[in-house]
Amino acid sequence: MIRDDDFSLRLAEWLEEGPFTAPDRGVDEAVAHAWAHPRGRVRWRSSRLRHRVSLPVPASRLVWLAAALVGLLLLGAAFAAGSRFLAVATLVCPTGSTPDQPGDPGLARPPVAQNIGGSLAWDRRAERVVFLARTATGGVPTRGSIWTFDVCANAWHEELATTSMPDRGPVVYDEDSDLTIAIGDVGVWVYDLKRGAWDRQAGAVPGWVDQAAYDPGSGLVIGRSTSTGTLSTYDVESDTWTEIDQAGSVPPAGGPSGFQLLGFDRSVGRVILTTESGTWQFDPRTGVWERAGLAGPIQFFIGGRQIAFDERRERTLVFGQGTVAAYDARTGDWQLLAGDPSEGWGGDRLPGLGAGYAMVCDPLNDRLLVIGGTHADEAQGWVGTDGVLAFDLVTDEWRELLAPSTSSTPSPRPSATP
Amino acid sequence: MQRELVERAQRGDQEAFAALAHLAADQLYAIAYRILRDPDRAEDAMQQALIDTWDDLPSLRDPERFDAWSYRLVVRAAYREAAKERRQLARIRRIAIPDETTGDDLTRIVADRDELERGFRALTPEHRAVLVLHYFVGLPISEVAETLGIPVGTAGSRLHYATNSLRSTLEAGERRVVPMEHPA
Repeated sequence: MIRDDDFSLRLAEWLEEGPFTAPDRGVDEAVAHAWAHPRGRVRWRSSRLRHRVSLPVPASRLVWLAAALVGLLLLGAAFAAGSRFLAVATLVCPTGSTPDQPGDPGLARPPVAQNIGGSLAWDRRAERVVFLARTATGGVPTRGSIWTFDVCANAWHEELATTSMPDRGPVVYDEDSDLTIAIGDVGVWVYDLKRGAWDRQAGAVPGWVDQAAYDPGSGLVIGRSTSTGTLSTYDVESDTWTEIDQAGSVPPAGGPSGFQLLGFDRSVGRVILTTESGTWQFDPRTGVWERAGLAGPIQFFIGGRQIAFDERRERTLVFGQGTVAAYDARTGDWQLLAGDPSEGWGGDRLPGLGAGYAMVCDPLNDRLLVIGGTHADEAQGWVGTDGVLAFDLVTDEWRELLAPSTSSTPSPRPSATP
Repeated sequence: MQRELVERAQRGDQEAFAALAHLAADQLYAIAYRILRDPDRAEDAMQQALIDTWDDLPSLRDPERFDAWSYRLVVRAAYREAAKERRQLARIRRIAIPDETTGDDLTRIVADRDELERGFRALTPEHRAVLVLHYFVGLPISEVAETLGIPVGTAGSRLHYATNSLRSTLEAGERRVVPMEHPA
């Protein structure tokens, strides 16, 4: 028990830490700004003083009014055009769409060979799945293609034909910049769905960043190296990596990367790291790690592991080996939603029984999408698939959204470390 | 001297306002930093408070109350800064540890600061402001209430909640701290 006087002393001492002197330049800027404008004017406030513009009251009102009118006109035009880039979280598919009907298997789709080891991201503004169809080649850039999956029609659309891309590494959607970011061994690629532009950033990646998640609070990507435990932020707009000082109960570094999953849980505003030995939470605002839960079912997963955030129920989901489990970041508790992680390899087409698949949460239709990968087939062995499966987060049941094409081909048994 | 500067600045004397701003800026910045825990945002809040000072100074009736009045302006500016969520750069500060500390002391210091930082950041800006004005500036609770423009009872309940919350965080942290082993 902490006594009042002891606590007051510790708090007062802690508050004494930190700066006492204001930057002179900042004071001079404020004074100059005040002098430059007559008293009583309304200011246009922004995060930095150097960007502030002072407007007389009537003018500022006119600007706001004009901006509102332009916004309404653009919104109406976008609706009228059925724009897929509309930056509005409708959270439902348009009237007349058929998200629960299986897609037409005869339409174009990513090639099977590039479905093993592909990566997905959910583009929140376009409300589409962005898929990097690629094949692992050992750390060097590979040839692949970029597709989007329309979750309201269960149909693929090819965005970019054969192009260079990282052969492995995390892919995240940066909603602040409206870009999909792929982090490879030797560089960062950025995909702008609106412009159809796929660019390689100039800067290098510090070490091997094999885990990443987007932090909506800061607008930055947080990357981690499994082997060293190094944590960095990546600002796509300035193409800058900044290493983060880590404090608290820092999770141990090392181990195979496939046995660790890094995600961001919006319910607590923290990075989630789940490994074979436990689950940790990292607060990007303080730089402090906290061990917050047991390992969860990931310790049983052999062939493939994926992580996503369920926005409607505010929980982190992991998937692998036919098993879906939910992590409540507020309590640190795990809940098994489907499957039995102790069953091992199986023989049906559930994606958890293979490897090399990709997963993303579709908040429009309240389900997880699992795309590509391999599955076990008694007759053919390990078979690459180009089907799309969904795990319904309401009923906790699987359904097929797009049947595999007949071109599915046998492939090698997946390794334990994808 | 400050009273004279305030009165001259109220009448529109720009030189007097510049001198007054430099006199007040350090304390405004220190308060803003301790509420926001971020130097850039604290600087923004300090700048906004100085601009608001220039704008609103004619409305200050008692020049002797300038300090408390300016604290209110910087706290309000800090509230606005705290409300901004977008694209705030995650600034992580390495925790400084005195070299001479070892063993249990070191563990305790690190844990204390971690827990205080985490507990403090979990509070709302309104609760943080009460703690900073009371424990850092040293204002009695009645003056905290007057500075913030809230009833004394409200200030008291905020202080009570904030201290209880922080104390709970510290106690939970102490239960988690495992003392470091000393070599035999």
